[in-house]
Amino acid sequence: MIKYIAKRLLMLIPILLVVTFVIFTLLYITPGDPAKMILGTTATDEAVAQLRTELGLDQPFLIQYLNYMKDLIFHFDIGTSYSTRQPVIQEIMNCLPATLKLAFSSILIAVVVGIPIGVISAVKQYSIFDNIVMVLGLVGISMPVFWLGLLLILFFSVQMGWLPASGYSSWQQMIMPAVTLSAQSIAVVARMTRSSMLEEIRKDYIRTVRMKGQTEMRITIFHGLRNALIPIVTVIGTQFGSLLGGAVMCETIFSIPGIGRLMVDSIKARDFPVVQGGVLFIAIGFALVNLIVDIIYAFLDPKIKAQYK
Amino acid sequence: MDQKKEKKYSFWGDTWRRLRRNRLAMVGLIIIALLIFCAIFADFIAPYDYAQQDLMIAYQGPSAQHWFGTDEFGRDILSRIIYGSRISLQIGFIAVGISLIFGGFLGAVAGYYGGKLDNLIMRIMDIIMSIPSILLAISIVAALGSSMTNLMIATGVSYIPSYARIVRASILGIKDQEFIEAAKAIGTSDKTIIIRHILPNCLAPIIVQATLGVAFAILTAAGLSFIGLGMAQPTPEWGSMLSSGRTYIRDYWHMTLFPGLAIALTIFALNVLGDGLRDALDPKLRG
Amino acid sequence: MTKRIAALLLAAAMAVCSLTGCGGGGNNSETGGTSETAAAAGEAKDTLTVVMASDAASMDSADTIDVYSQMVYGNILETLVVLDENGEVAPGLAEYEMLDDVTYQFKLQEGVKFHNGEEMKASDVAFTIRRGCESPVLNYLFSEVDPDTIEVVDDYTVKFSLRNPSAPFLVNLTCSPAGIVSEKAVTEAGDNYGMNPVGTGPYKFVSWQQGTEIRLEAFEDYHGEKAKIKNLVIRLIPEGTNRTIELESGGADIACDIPTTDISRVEADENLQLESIVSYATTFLGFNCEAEPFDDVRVRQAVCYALDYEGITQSIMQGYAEPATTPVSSELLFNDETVEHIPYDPEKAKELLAEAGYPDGFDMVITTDERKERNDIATIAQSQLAEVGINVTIDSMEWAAFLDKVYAGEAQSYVLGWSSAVPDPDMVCYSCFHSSMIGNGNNNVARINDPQIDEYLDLGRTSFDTETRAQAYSDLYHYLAEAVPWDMMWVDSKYVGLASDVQGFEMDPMGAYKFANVSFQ
Repeated sequence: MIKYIAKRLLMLIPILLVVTFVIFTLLYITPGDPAKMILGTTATDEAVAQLRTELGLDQPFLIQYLNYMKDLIFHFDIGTSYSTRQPVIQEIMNCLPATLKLAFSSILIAVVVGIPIGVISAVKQYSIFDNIVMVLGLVGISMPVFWLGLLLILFFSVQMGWLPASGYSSWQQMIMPAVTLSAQSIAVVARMTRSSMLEEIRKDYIRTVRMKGQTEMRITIFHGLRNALIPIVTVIGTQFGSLLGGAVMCETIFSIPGIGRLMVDSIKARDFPVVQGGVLFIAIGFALVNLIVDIIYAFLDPKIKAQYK
Repeated sequence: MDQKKEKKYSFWGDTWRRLRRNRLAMVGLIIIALLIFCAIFADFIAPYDYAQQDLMIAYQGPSAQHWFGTDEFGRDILSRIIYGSRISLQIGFIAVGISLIFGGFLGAVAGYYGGKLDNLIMRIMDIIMSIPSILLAISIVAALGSSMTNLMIATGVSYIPSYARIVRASILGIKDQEFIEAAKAIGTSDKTIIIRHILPNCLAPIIVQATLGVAFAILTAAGLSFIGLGMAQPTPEWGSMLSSGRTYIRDYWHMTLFPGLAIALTIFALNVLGDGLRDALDPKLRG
Repeated sequence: MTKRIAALLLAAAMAVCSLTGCGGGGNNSETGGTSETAAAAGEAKDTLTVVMASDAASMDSADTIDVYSQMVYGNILETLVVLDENGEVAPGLAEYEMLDDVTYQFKLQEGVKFHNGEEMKASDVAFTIRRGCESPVLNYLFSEVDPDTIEVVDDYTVKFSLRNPSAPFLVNLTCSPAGIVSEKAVTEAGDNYGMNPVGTGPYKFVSWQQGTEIRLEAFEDYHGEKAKIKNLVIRLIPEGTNRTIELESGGADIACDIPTTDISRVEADENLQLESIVSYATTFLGFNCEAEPFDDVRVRQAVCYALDYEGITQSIMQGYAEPATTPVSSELLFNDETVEHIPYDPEKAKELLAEAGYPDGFDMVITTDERKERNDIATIAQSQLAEVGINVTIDSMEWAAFLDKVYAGEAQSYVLGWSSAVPDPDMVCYSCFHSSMIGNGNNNVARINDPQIDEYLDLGRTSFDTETRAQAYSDLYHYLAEAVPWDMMWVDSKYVGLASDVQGFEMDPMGAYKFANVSFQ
């Protein structure tokens, strides 16, 4: 088991190397001069040129890249933001809580709402409940995050005045963004739960258990769900991926200062170090989440666990 | 030869029959067909020119002359949505086309030749997949500019790994089967083998993936436009319409309602169609 | 097995709760607005919550002059001189004297404390001025100062000279970026100073959670009348509609930059007050006068005839901005109301185009940044110019790339705005229209090179006689109305929404509001 984890962690390195290279290249060819951005429109050309030299922007591409990697590997220093002159790490850490809050709340809602719906749907297959849930599920997947967010604001903030439209501290402020972000995940989790449960219920061992005289409830939840959990966990893991895209939209609409918005703003501001640091961070985050999902996966399925021994 | 043809016909015919039974999927199909129709015949269907401004009648809600109302420049929203379908569908299909061609090619090569090449290609695919697609798309558009072509590239690139995997998996599935060995023995070129025998096998999952891929591309493009990386005026792209309408959401919400509805409906249709196709093509559910 | 599922869910729930707890660690004070306005009855509110559109870039005045940063550090710093109600220069932290037409001497107030407890001395002023000379960002304020002449005469007296006489110089010194900083604080903090500013102003810096909010606190040892409200929280909400919603729901006491669509709503709301002021900023469509086809003044004029600037202003700003006739705001000194903007006349436009050799029109690119209003100008222009045969493509870019393109002279035409920081027109006019300001990062992005314009500008800057200056600028504006390096659209106005219990708030034409006099009813 440990060996597997270690191997996965090692795999991170080449991935991250290439990720940094790709993003570095993309940013390099992006038009827009960060020095000019920082100094503003009243600065003279000499001042801009001087700042460019200071920031190392006038070096050839490879030298810039190697310098960056050198700092990263030997000093864990991913640079300083061009706009705020603060360490990139700090910028990211400032924004991380907001995004994590948003992400965890959404996943929680998705799980707490999606799994029960999926279970009930599976048990009462083809009933009205099932059909409604299926259609709603499809609607949920199809709804663009940014549109849903706007509609929620329109109704709950503007028309009804019940909920605030921005911020992320109080739970009232978090409801709408979290629900908006979770909409798609709820649908996916519900559908996944339903289909894996359906598969499980049909299996032979369920028939055996039923014959043993267990109540229907126990059967579904304890036996069916347990094994259906595996694909569900995988789906939850993969949802983290699409969450980021949705998070960018949510953070924009609800004025939440999270990583998604930090990335978009930094790209627009040509704040290269923040973009590079951020993407690196997110890529590592992804990889770790995938790893955790795989580990949970292994715990849940003794067959897979055996593989790793 | 005759036997093969018959098999093919009944495979697709069978699929079609099963799809037809799925009412939801048919609804999706009809909606998509409608959209394609709008896209092709926009010039004839749209009541107004999508760029025609009339500042005097700006901000009007739905009315008899303008079914979906007018936007901030007095342009007819219905016409803009109709023309917008052309743009969205174009982006969707071409983006998927790009992913399909590059991904399929890479997957085919990886699966067929195996070994180190396979490893290398799959590692590269892993790496592409580990960069969150939205960030990749934003970076590409920020770097290259926000034209339709770049939007297509940006949304297409992130899906390349999916198709690579599908094609590779299909190839691995049948690579070692006897009839391939036989073909090789006769001396058929690798290329012919891949195209004639292997690709038809992957068609099923590819079609499903492509349908969902078009949905994803349209959504991503709309999303990019929404955060300001979309196409220039007066292009009636649905996402940018949504973005402009956002400013007026409190007073003139019809400007956000209709473009959003268009996007949601399109994605919904593509999703149900994709689901339906997946069910129809799924061997496990046959007979 | 159930236990494991339960454990997982429990863990997840705990994670969310703890995060909610963490992030809201300062929850009670963070959402100061919501909880405190709700409990308003009887208790004196001690926190003023302001929402603004963009985060400050830095607290260091020598690092940035963007209006959002200025709004914050303008409450922390004070300047040597200030503008009184009549817009005249009056003593601030110091009294001033002109020893000759290039030498200034300042006698400082004694006993003025910095936020770090130190007393303000002449050395701090000398330090600030020297810093201003060295900072590229403050070039526009301090360029004429000769740093070698900066002299500390005694503990409370400073003297320095300019290279050339400059009538607007003292007015420049009233801007917040010229605020006096503590030499000790700056040298000790080094690079971190931008996060820890120290000044003599009525509010002192407490904390800055970037992207979220900035906190200031009333300075107990302030030398003048202390700030009326103890805590000042400035929150960042980029979306205009969200700011208004925050104001309406009581989450904010003051909302800056109310979007056009919300102005009538705030006005009509009984629980809110609307404050407005015509600002020092204008918005326009600019040309590159160095390259074809806009090197021909007739072509520029043709575009002006083809565009209905009043209609465009009305359509986009809905009556909340005045169409502009002069290149600088009508609020600046020496405004001339007799200046006329080229009227809307598409036929005349076609005539001029034919005359200039473009009977069938030509292809034109309008470059703009991402702001909706700017894009809207381009969009309407596209439609109106099509009527006279000009085929417009709109290039909408991110602000950084946009600036790059415009400053490099690569944009054929562009939608831009300029704000003056001071009521004196010299600052904007000189840097935007003088031939010495072309290229090299300087602000004459229209690249207009006209000796007559230069003459008017030099006269306006060097002459100390008000009448001569007034005449010079009047001549300049009339001339520019014909030469049209910029096709003026409108003069911006600033709109701020206040809760009903807020009083004492003063509007500022630059948007860098000061809050020391604000109190709750």
